Amino acid sequence: MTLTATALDFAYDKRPILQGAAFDPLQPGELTALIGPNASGKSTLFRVIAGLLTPSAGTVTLGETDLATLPVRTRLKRVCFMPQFFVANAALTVFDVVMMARKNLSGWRVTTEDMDAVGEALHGAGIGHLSEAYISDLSGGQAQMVSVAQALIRQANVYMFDEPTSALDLHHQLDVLSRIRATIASRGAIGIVALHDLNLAARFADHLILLRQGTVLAQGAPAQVLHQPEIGATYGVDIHITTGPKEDLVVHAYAS
Amino acid sequence: MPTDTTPPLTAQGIVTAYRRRSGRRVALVALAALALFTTVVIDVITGPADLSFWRVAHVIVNPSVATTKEEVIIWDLRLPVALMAVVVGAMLGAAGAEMQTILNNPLADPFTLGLSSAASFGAALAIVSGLSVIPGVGGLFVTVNAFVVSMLASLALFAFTRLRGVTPEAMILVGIAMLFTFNALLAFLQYGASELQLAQLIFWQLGSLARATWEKVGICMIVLAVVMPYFLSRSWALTALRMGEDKAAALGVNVSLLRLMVLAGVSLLSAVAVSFVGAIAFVGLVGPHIARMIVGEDQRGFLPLSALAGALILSGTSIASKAITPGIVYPIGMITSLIGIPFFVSLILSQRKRHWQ
Amino acid sequence: MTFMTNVSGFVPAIAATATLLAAAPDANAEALTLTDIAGREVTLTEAPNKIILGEGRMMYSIAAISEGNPFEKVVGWKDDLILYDPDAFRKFEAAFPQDAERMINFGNPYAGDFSIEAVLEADADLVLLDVGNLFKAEETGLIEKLGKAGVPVVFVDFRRNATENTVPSLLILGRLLGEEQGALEFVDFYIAEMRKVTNVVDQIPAEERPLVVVENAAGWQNDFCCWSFGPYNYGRFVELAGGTNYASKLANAYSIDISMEGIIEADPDHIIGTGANWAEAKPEVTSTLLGYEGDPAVNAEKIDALAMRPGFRDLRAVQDGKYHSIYHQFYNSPYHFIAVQQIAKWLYPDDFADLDPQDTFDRMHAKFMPYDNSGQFWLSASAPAN
Repeated sequence: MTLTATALDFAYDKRPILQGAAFDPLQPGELTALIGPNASGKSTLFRVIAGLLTPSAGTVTLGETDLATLPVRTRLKRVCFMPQFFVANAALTVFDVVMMARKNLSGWRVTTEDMDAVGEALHGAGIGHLSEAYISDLSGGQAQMVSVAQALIRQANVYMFDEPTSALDLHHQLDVLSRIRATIASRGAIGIVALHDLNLAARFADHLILLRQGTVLAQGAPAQVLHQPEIGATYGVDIHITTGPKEDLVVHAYAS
Repeated sequence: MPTDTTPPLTAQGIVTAYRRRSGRRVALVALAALALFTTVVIDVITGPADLSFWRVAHVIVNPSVATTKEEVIIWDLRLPVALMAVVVGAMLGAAGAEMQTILNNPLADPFTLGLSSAASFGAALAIVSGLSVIPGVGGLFVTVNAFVVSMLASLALFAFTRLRGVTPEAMILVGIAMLFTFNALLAFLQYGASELQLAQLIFWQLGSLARATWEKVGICMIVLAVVMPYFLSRSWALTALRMGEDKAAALGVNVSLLRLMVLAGVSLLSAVAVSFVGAIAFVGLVGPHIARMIVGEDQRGFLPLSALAGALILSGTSIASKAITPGIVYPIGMITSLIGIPFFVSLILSQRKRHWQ
Repeated sequence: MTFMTNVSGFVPAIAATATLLAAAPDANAEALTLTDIAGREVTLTEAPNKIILGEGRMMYSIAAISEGNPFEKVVGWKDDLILYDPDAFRKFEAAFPQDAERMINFGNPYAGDFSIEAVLEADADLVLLDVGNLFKAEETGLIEKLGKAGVPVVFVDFRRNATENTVPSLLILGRLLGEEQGALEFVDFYIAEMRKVTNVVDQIPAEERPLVVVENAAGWQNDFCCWSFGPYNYGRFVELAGGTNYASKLANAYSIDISMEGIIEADPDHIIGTGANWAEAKPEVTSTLLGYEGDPAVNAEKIDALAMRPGFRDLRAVQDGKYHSIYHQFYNSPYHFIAVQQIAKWLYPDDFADLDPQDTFDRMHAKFMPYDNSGQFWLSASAPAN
């Protein structure tokens, strides 16, 4: 099933954040990168899709269902949202917090299946050696990888990641994004990732959406969107696109 | 970069480490329960009357063999006091644990939010000016006043959050404002009190277990039996809250509603506890910290252990207060502070992990 | 602690004050210098006649030593007499209605601060304070400020070390009021009546003295036990009457919180609780309502109810009918020799078969007080029919 948004408006204290934001249906199994400058409304858009904020106008449709008609808990079971990175300082271990995400508030008992699933998830993400560490002791990057693990362990139709790689080193940035992409594809889910780095967006996304001042300026395949003049205008830079050694798009930006 | 001594490299290794820790957590909670049982036993056999452990056990198991004196001492005096210490300690420990969770603040307990000052003030109103908030309750009216004013203070907190949002900052600010207001009003009432009334007020400000009766123990147990299961049923949501509001909301937690419901539970626990034993500070603050240092903040272990820790602290001080000078009754709040503070400081100094920075 | 030396403790104090008295010239129109109960030397440029009482209950003493109208030289007081002994207040009111009316009310004696302005406004020339307020008076600068304004402060004590300080305090009051004659007569009466007890009791060795538990304000609070006195005040009265005060063994403090269990374990021979007419100010008290308006029928019910409280009812003292109640305000009054006499009678009924405290109290009123005795000031619970 596809994810579509039409004419979303949202204002915070009379200040408009989203103005008629809309995008064409996003296909299952595809990863979309949401790009745009700071304060363009990316986080707000995610929150509106997740149902944490109610838009003053517009709808979000998943398949045939208008998400607004669903009760909050049900909606959040189908739409998994990973907020922007925030260091929590609780006396909880990495295993604990990933388990908590998996349990998703239901059921008190932790079963063997639960434990195995969490163990696999941590191992697969390469953070198995941190499983018994307290999250308050983690570095920023480690905490962010735990956050991604918390999101991916849940079974949802839509996954949204708000800047999942901002604190990661190069190796882990590539690792996390490829894992997200692979998981999305294998589950047939819809993935949206908010990114600042246009190169990462170009490399990993099947689809790009450019958001500026609460409106979608451009959407489509990366090659197509990145060549449009709106990109340079939006970011205030000169953009030149080339192709890298592995047939991937490389974005060069120059201050104008 | 933290490391374990033997980093588990396989998924199964990870699970095994978790199981081990879970098992340890269960064992520690069981150990705490056992320790509590021990302190209760010691509490019941401690007192100015010279009764041996076996004699006490015999009387409890077979009440008919007791002399009148033993019956009164064991059944009417020592047992209610020992059980009251456990129940009130548990109530305060649980209340403190959840207060710290929903307010994201390590200094939170029902007292920091002025709920117990409100109760003291309600009691003072009754003692000094004879004003009963609910007319016609007779001799109980000091207790009832304390309870009612404490609940009114909670309602004020609720009402304020409607205006300013259910955020930890708002709640803490209002709570502290109430704390100071009620303390000031209390001082004002003390100003006009006779020496007998002042002596009565001391009880409220420093607390005492000596007025425990089976009825009071029963009421406290009922309240605990209603509120604890509710808190436990919200374990995952409360644990999620400690990950940050955003994360919790993304998991589907209705953060505002959860905070208000938990506040209601905490208010009930502390209002009932304080109206029966006076203001015993510190238990609700330290109990959760001890629990956190031992089992972390997974609510499934943190909450029960906070209650147990609170009960242990109060049970221990009950023993201490009787042992100082047999025959003299000391206000228990005084002793919890004197013993608790150095113990707490030493715990903090010995801890490497900092969970609140 | 030996009972012998303490029993006779007040005699040297009397001797000392009497000497001072004898040495002083006739006071009425001239300056007087005296040492008050706090050991302060106070000089008054002339005899005071606008006195403010730091405790309204000082009237117990003033009335006892005054020849005519005890209110003559008093302009104001704190309202403890009205609040805590309304029975006695009404006696005064009935005898001296206009004076009772004109008394300026300085508020609650326990509420610390004295309004210096109000004192000066009343044009007072002397303030009498209970010695318990000494520290606070010094700390707040009350004494200093009043001194600057030319108003002397004199301390007396009828409470803390009641038995040692009552006689010196009475003599001080006598000098201040120009009622030395009345004071000496009352002191004679006091000593004589105290001696009736101590002469007999001094002979009784410590091991033979019955154990007594004193309960301060029995019935003031529900399900509470108990406030008691150390070797002070009522605890001291018990000792002077030939008893062993239970709480004296626990601590050397004026007020001690004792546990019910301790009482049960100690198995006292007698229990004495204090009571007064608190019901007017605090309707929910279950204490005996003793005082000038005490009703024997009402109090009989109340004391039986107190004796039947859980924990108390099984005590040997209660079973033997040795549960007593006595007027609370004796704790702050020069009439406490009545309490000592009555306690002695409870403890040693045979030795004091001829002693009649009721008669003593009646005679005291007839000789010294501006009103008659009435009401009830002590009683014992009935032994439960088993």
